[in-house]
Amino acid sequence: MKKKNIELDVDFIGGHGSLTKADELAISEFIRKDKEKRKLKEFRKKAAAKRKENTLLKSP
Amino acid sequence: MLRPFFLVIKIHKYEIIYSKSSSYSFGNSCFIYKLYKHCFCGAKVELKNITKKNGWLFDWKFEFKQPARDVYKLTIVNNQTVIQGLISLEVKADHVYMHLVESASFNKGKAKVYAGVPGNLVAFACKLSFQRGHEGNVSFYSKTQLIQHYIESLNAMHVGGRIMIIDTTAALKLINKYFPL
Repeated sequence: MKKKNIELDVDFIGGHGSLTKADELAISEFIRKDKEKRKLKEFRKKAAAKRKENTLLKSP
Repeated sequence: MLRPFFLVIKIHKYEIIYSKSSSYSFGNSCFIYKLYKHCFCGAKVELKNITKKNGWLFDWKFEFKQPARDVYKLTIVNNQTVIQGLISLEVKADHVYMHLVESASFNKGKAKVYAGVPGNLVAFACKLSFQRGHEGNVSFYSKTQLIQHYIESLNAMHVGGRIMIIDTTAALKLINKYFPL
């Protein structure tokens, strides 16, 4: 079943002040890991596609 | 309830940054403006009515004075003088931090005039993040009770504590929803 899209229903966001150094570091770390994960996923996808292509070429 | 098309423009000079950011299932057209700091008089006039007395919760004049932050206003195309919502953003080293987002008093609660004001402003933050080379990453602090709502509505991720992040995938979804080509 398709997941229903929920509309953002708030009147305001924030008001909790600036980011602390520790939070900023946590965000940077998260972004770095997320980037790595996406790169790895892309690499695996490409490798799988290449493998599939090679098997198709080898098959008579 | 009306659902307009939005357009984001930097405040003060009313320079159009994004033209025709037609918003998802909206009926009118909207703009987002940036309030420029270097030409203060225009912004001052703009912010004159952004007071607690007029239903605004946050001190937007203070926000505007912060050198690292940029304040953007959201208007509809047909009436660019009436501010529908405001957003305060800071471009960090690897992402955009959302200090504040607020809908105008008439866009708050159940009897709001326009729906989708905060969603549109958040999508704009994601767009700005892409433009600044931060791959759509946007962070903000959330109230504990709203963490789940942000996960469901914005596809945001809960990093820990009150920190929320909108990553590249979620940012793309939001941009496609609010700024379709």
